[in-house]
Amino acid sequence: MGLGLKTFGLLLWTVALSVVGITLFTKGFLLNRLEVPIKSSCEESPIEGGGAGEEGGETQKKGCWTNRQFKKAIILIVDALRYDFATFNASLTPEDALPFQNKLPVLHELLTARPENSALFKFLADPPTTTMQRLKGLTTGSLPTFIDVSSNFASSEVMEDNVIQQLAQHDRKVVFMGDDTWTGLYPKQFHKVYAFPSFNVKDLHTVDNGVLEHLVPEMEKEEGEWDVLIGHFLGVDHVGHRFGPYHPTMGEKLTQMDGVIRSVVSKLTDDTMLFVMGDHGMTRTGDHGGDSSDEVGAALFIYSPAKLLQGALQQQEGQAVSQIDFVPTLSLLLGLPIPFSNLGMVIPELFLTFSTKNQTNNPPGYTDWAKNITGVEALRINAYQIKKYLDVYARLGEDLPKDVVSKLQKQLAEVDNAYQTAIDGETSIDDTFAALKRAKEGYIKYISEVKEMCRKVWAKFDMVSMVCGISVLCLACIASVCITMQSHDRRVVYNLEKQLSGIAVGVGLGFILGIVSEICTNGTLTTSSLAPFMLPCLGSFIGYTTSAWSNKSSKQTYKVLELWRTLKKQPVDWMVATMLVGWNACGLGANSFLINEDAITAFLLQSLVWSLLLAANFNRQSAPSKEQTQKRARAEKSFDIGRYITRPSLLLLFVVVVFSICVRLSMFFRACREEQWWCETPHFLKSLSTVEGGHKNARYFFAAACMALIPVSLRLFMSKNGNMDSVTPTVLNVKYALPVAAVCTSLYWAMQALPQRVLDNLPAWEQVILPRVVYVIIFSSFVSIVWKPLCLLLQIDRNYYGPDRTFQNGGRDRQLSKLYNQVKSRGTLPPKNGSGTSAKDEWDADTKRIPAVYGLATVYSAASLVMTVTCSQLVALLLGDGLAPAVLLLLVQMGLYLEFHAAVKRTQARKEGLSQEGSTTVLSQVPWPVVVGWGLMTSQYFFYTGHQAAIPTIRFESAFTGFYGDFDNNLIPAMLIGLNTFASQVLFTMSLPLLLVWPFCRGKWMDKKLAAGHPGNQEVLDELQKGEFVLHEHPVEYRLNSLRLYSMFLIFNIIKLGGTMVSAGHLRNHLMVWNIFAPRYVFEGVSFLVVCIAMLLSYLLLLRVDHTLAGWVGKLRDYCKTQ
Amino acid sequence: MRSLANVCLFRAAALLALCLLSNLTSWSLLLKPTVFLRYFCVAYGAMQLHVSVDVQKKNSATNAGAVSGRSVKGWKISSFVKGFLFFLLSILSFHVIAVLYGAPLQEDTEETFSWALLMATLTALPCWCMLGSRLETWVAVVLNRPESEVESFLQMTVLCTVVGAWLGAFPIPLDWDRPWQVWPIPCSIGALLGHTGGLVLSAIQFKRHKLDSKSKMV
Repeated sequence: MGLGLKTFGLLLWTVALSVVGITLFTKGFLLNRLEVPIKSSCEESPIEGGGAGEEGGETQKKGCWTNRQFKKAIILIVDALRYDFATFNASLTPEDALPFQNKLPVLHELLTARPENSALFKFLADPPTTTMQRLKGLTTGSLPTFIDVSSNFASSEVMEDNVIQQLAQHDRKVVFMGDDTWTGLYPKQFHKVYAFPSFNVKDLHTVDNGVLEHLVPEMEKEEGEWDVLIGHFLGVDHVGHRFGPYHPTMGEKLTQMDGVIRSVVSKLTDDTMLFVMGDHGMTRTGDHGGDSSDEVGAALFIYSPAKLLQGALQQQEGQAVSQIDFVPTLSLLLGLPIPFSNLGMVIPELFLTFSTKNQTNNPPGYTDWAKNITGVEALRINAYQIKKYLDVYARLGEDLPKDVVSKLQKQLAEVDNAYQTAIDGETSIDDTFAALKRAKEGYIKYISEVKEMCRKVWAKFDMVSMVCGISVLCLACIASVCITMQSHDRRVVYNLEKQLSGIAVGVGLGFILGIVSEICTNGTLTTSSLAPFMLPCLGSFIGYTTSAWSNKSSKQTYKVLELWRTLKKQPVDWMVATMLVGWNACGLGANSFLINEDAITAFLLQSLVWSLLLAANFNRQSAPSKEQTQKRARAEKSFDIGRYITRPSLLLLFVVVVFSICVRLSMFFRACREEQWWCETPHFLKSLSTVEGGHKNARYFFAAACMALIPVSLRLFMSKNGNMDSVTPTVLNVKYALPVAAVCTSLYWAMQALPQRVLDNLPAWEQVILPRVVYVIIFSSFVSIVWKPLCLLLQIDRNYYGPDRTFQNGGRDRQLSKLYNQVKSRGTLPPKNGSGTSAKDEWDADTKRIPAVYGLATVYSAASLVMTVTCSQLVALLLGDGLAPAVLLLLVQMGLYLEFHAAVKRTQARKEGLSQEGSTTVLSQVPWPVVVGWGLMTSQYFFYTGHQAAIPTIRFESAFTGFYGDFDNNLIPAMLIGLNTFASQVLFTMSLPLLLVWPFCRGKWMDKKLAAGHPGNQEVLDELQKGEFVLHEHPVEYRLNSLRLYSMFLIFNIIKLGGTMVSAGHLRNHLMVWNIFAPRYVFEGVSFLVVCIAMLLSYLLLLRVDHTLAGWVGKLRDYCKTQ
Repeated sequence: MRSLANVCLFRAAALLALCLLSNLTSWSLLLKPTVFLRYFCVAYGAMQLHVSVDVQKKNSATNAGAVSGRSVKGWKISSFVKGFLFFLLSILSFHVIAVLYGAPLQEDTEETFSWALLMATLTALPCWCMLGSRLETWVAVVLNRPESEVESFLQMTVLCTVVGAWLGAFPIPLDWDRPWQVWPIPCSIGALLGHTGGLVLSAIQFKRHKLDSKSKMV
């Protein structure tokens, strides 16, 4: 096993440790609810002696647990119908009304004209407000848990008891049309299905038109063809996602909905109920998913031609019912059993004219009596159903607190006794009323208390698993620190094998021990057992530390005293960086810091860079000799602006200032969180087709120019360093394919600027062909980098470049001689051509046998750069035209940072003027503060490519670049959305090797300035001339330092992840945990996984480049020997 | 002759007095930050000019010139103009730095400018008064290891002021909904506190230094 693979093994081990940590924590934090498989049945009524009434033997009125009040129901779900879309404000003129106001006048007309037949409620959804969770809630009546969100696009069949299942079981025919999420949830239950794809957010009309086409014809079909008709309109939601509620399209869409409702109402028969509801609301930007009142507050409108209410409902503004209340209400009204796991409460006002008991007497005020008693009776059935569920759940699961459950059940029994005596007792009518009222309140209290208890319990956490997760992450962090520290010493190389075998033995033993202990204690292995996870981690850590300790050289490093001493030796920027990391991690525990995390990250990054500048100046100027300063002062008496400006420290200052400006500019690309009320969504984040007038062109061409600059600058850069002269697949890719990809991307954006109608009428293949071309190009680019990572041109016979050839390519001759400086001409070639004579002389002396190699000095960075640019093109395509400038800015900022780092490093190397190995070590050791800066830039550009750590800001539309939205599986959309969201993580991690190699051949602008001040030792200067090839000549330093760099980057990410874990775990009962802390943790966790994958891939790429280079050098050496 | 330690203590006292005085009037820092900062800078700047002239005379020949390699001459119109320009430049650069660190670009310009003025008064002005009008020297004194009392005094106060202002930014995003959490106020308070701290610290340093040297002589 080579050294590279050994270091990779260590890296893989730390990554695996932290992944196990995440898994354990997630398992404890995002706890799932137990699903009870039992179904309610018609025969087993929850109340004794209950069952259907037998009034007059009307069979069609006979229901299951109660009488069947309505025969049929039409349920129209208007996705994202917010409550204020449905209300009517008479004081607004049509001109004043916002696009979503007063657009559903039919509801208002019905409410005023037929107050006893209609009701409008605010319909409170439970977060998370995503469509599938809401559909589950709407049919099962149970509370969701957070984990459900993740399966939003993996529609899976609902196994819990639900209304649809009950309908199907009782031979009611359910006809469904609309959003195909339903067919995923209920694949077999529907009698007839007209499903339409729901995922394409850009498509505003397909689903709605499909429903419109079938709705009324289905309604008009003869008796018995359907009992329940469900129509799910998606247009409003898609308009919200695409344009937001304030766009005129919203008005058009709502007016269309108004027409639909009108046509349905006009055809309703007396035995039919109509429900119009939203499954959730939307924020002012048109997104949903969180729990702000705008997202949670949907509308519910109920109407029937038959009498629905006794007297008009006291319509207070925003009278609210919970969304799960729909389930028992619908069930009982249609005479069905309430689904077993329902926790909702019937809406008592709707239970009017039926009773399970025959009322023999007709006392005065009978209607009032009936109104009350039926409502109470429905509540009673509801309460007993919940009691039954609670009993079963408490028996199956152990998470409900026993004492609270028994207290609640006793409370119900008391209420019920009071109710029984009130009904049966021969008391006066007034007393009975009072008793009934008390009973009603008692039932309501019972149901809501049960609901509250369950909500609390299901938001409960498995503390043991969470603590285990955090401690495994701590182990990973400590391990990475140890690896970082041991990499200082090159003697550790001989110990690596031992360490790895220690780890392997530890994992094996731990795993066996874990399984054995688990079986001994519990008898079985379940998914919830912790020992098989924990013990291997612990074992491998012990295995690692013992073998590392046994090594004499690294023993010294681990001494606490030594540790403290090295800590004290660290320069200012080291302290500042560590403090900033600590601050960043601690800040994750405060909600206001999380809300403003975007600005804070930029602030911290600025602070870090300026402190790096200060430290660099400290290092350089710490001991200026008196003579020198005086000489300098004398020289400066004559004021020369040119010299003044180009002084090294000022140059560094310029770089930092430009860097800072980039950071500040990037802040214009931030998305707004719902909590940032002061924030205005920048124009860059709106889709191009919504931008008006001349701005559209300006924005488009700006984006296209940015997009064009990326491959062009890569080409310039590489040809300047001689990496473009060969004819390998990679070079051809850079030359031709990447520019073509940029052009295709720009054209695709131009297409997106077309008006929606035009775009929809294009044939499907025209919509997807351009992005698909880009995908193919980028894929081929990846393949070519992995296949042929070297961009070198070997020129063995000089005469090949005869005069005519030189004539053709104007500057090549000059370039050749210039590049020859950087060519590896020592070491691997016969020593007689060795050092001493300058390259120019050799050129003139016409030593034909010396092979000239173009681009050897930048062999590593060329491969990494091509990788970075390829990734950035992919990411830019997914981010969309508005954010193309942000991607360019990211690359510019990255370049400036690298240049700054390289300049500081080269200054240091020159000043210290050590031996060859020493200078290699100095150049290739990336200090911790620099890595921290890289990490901060990663999070900075996470925010400033239009993202926030909140679910509503996920840009789902990116899944349609190049696809229609009809996915067979969820892998492709998940990858596209993930690449969009974690664009900066991917880019920065993939270009991590650049930090290592950049000082070897870039940052030379500093050299000239410094040459006078620090002449340096000639050997070191020669070494610097060789560029990155030095790395190949010092493989041990190269491997150890790349391992060190990657471990440090991992440490940074682990600390941040740990911060989110600790804050989410510690604040698990915080008011905003599901709104802020849990999403933050989820985002950080996924981002960490992305970083890990990208890290491993780019490390393997590094090894691959080195491997091919070794093969190449071997061949060259053989050739030279034969000559 | 006034010792530098006394100057420090005097300045710290004056600074606190100014802040307290402003609370009696209607333009305290919390109510009208821009007005307060403007008046404060004028008053504190004037005081610095007065105090530092004789310190400078005493020290100019020996210490301050050491870094720049040439002695600071007396007051000249041209050097005054140059110093003033550097002072303006430092105000401008503080303004730019504030914007780079995230202060709003177009709104609140007056607030940002007032803060920049304050920072310049607390950092650049002492340098100007004590080192003469050479930007080079100012930067060198702040960045290098101090070689004299004046230099260590300047370095201490400047660094403390900057760090104080930096730390002052942290309460801004917190959701306590206090009136003083608006942009220039916390950073100004931080800068003022940092400056006072720096003054007190260097005073303590000088006193101790003096005691040490006395005990050595004995």
